[in-house]
Amino acid sequence: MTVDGSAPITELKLDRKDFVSDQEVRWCPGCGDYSILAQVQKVVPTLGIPRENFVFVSGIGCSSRFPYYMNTYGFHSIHGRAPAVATGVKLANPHLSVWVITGDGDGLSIGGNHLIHAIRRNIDINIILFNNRIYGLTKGQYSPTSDFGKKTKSTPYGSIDQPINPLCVAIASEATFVARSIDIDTQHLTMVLERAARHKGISFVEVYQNCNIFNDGAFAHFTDRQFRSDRVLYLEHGKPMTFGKDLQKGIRLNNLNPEVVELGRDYSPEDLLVHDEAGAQPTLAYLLTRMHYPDFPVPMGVFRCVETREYSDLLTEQIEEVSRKEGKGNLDSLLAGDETWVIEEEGAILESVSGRERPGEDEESYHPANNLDAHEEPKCAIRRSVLNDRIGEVRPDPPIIASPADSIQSAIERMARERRGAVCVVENDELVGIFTERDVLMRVALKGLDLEKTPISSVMTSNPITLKADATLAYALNQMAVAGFRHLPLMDGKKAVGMVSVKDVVRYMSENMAG
Amino acid sequence: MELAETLKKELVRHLPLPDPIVLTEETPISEAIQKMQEAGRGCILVARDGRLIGLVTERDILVKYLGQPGKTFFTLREIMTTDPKKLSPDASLEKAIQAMSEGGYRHIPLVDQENQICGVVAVRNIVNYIAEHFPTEVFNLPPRLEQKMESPEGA
Ligand code: SF4
Repeated sequence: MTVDGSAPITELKLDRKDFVSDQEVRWCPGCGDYSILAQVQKVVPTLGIPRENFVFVSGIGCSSRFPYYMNTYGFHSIHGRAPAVATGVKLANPHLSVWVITGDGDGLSIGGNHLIHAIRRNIDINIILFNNRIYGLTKGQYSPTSDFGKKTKSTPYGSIDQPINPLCVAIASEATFVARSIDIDTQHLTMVLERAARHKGISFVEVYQNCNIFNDGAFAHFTDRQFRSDRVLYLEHGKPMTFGKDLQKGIRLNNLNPEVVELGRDYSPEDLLVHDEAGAQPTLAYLLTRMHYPDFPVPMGVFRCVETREYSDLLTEQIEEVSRKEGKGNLDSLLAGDETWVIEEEGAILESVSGRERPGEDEESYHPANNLDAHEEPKCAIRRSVLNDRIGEVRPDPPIIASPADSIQSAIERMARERRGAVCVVENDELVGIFTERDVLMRVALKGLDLEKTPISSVMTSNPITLKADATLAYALNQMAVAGFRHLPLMDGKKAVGMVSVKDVVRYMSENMAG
Repeated sequence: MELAETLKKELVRHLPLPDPIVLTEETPISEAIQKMQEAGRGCILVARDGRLIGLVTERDILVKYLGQPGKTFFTLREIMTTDPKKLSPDASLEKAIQAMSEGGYRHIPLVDQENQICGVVAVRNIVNYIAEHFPTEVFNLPPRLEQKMESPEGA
C-alpha cells in the first residue's frame, strides 16, 4: 500500500475469515489452543503472502490438529517428524511460508531429535511449540516439560525427571530467532507471531498454553491478568528490563547473576540490564531462559533474533554451483552406477506376532473433564453476565438497512443523520455485507471516489461475522477483542434484526456492574 | 477479587495504551485523515503547546467532513469537538466505563491537571481488558460458534 494514498491499492485483500476452515474444531471447550489459532488466523493475512503459499505441518498431539483448522495447505504428519516433513516442503518449494505446529510431547520427546536438527540448519520455517506441560491427547501423563514433582497419571508420586526448557534447547541448537508468549495474551502473541513469520531463517516460538482439562492453571500464577504485570517481564530490544504496574522494578546483573531490584532510592534505570536480541553470543538470551517465577518475573518476547545464511538458499546455491562445474546430474545413472549389488539369498520369513488384547478401559470413568459440565454459578456479577447473558438482552439498535447499489454518499448521510456507526447491506432479504464508519475512514476518505456514483457494495465488508440472539456475551467479546470488530449484525436466520456495537456491550456491562 | 472491585482499583494509565496522534488545529483535514489511515487509528487529539484543546474522531470525519457535501472544510479547527470529555490518567477504569457509557464516547483523552496530554483511552482498550479476565471463555473459542465442542474430547 502506498503511504500517500495516491496509487491504487494492490495489497492482497485477505482477512482472518479466509483462513478459517470448515472443519469441526475438536479441542476441549476452553482449551488455550483456540486462542493461538485465532491469533495465527489474524496474523497470516497481514503478511502479504497469497493463501496458497501457506503450509502448516504438524506431528501428533492436541496441538497437531491445527492444520485442519487453517484454510491453507497442511500436513498432519508423523509423530515428532513435522520438522523433517516441513524441511522437505520448504526445500522443494522455497517460496512457501512453512509453519510447524508442535507440542511439548511431540516436539521435545519423540521429536526432540528432529527439532534440534531443523533448528541448527537455520531453514526458513516457523516452529510454534504449544507448551502445556502435559500429554493431553493421551489423557494426562507427564511430558518432557512437566515440573519436577508434578503428579500425573504416569507419575502418581510426583515426577523425578528434570524438565526440559524448550528455549534453552533452541538456543543450544543455534536458533536465530527465539521467542516466548502466552496463549491468552493476544496482543503480545500476535506481535511475536508476526515477527517470527517475518524472520528469514528458523523461528522458534514457545507458547505457554493452558490445557484446562489435564493441567489447568499451569501458568496462571503469572499469566493471570491480575498479577501479570508484576510477574511477567516483557522484553523490548534496546530497553532496560523493567516490570511491575508502574515499571517500578527491574532486572540488574550482579556479576553473572540476574537480580530483581526496586527502582527509586538505590537504583535507577541506568543500572538495569538492557535487552539485546542481536548479541554476537546468545549468552544474554540463555540467561533470560533461566529466570523462573517466583524468584524472577517470567520473560516474554523475543529473546534472540540474528541473521545468518538460510538453508534453502545455501542448498540452491550449492546445486547451481556444482551443476555449473560438473553438469546436470542424472538420478537414473546414479542409481544404476558402479556401486550397486544384489542380495542373492532368500529373506528369512518373519514370524507374525498378533497383538495382545489390552485390558478394557472405561473412558468415562477416569475422565476428569466432567467438572466442566458441573455448572457452578460464578460469584462475580460481571463474570456471570459475560458467561450466561445472551446478546439479545443487550437490546441493540435496529439496523439501518441499505441495498448494495445505494451510493456511498447516501449511506454516509444516513449514518450521520440516524447517529449510527454502521449500515447493514441487504439484498433479497439476506445480509450480504456491512459498511461501518471505520470503513468510511479507511476505504473512502481521500480515496478519490465519486461518492454519489460509487455503490456501497464496492467498499463494504462482504459476508461479515454475525451474531445469533442466543450467542453469549463472551462470544461477542471474543469477536470484538480477538477479531477487532466494533459492529456485529444480530441475525434472525438470514435477516439482520439488530446491530450490536462495542458501546452497547460496555454500556450493558456497566449497568450490570451497578446492579 | 471480583472484577467490579478490580475495575474500581485499576487505573486507566495501567492499560497498554498506544501513543496518541497529536496535531495542531491548523493541520489540514486531509493530512489528519492520512495519519489516521496509516496508523489505523480512529481519533486525533488537537493540542496547543501540548495542552488539549479538541478532539477529532472518525465520527467527525463521517458526520462533518463527508456527511455535508455542500460544505467545504479545511482544517481540524472546523471539525473538532472543543473541550471534549477528559479524564486524569489516574482515573479508575470504572470511571472511564461510566463516562463512556453515559456520554456514548468511544475515545476519552487523558490529561494532567495542567491539561497536558498524557494519552487517550478507547472503548476497545476497556473491552480488551475485561476480556483478558475471562480467557477461557472469551479467547479460547473456535473461529465459528457452531464449531464449539460440547464436551472435552482430548482433541
Ligand atoms: S486435552 Fe488439553 S490440550 Fe488437549 S484439547 Fe483438551 S484442553 Fe486442549
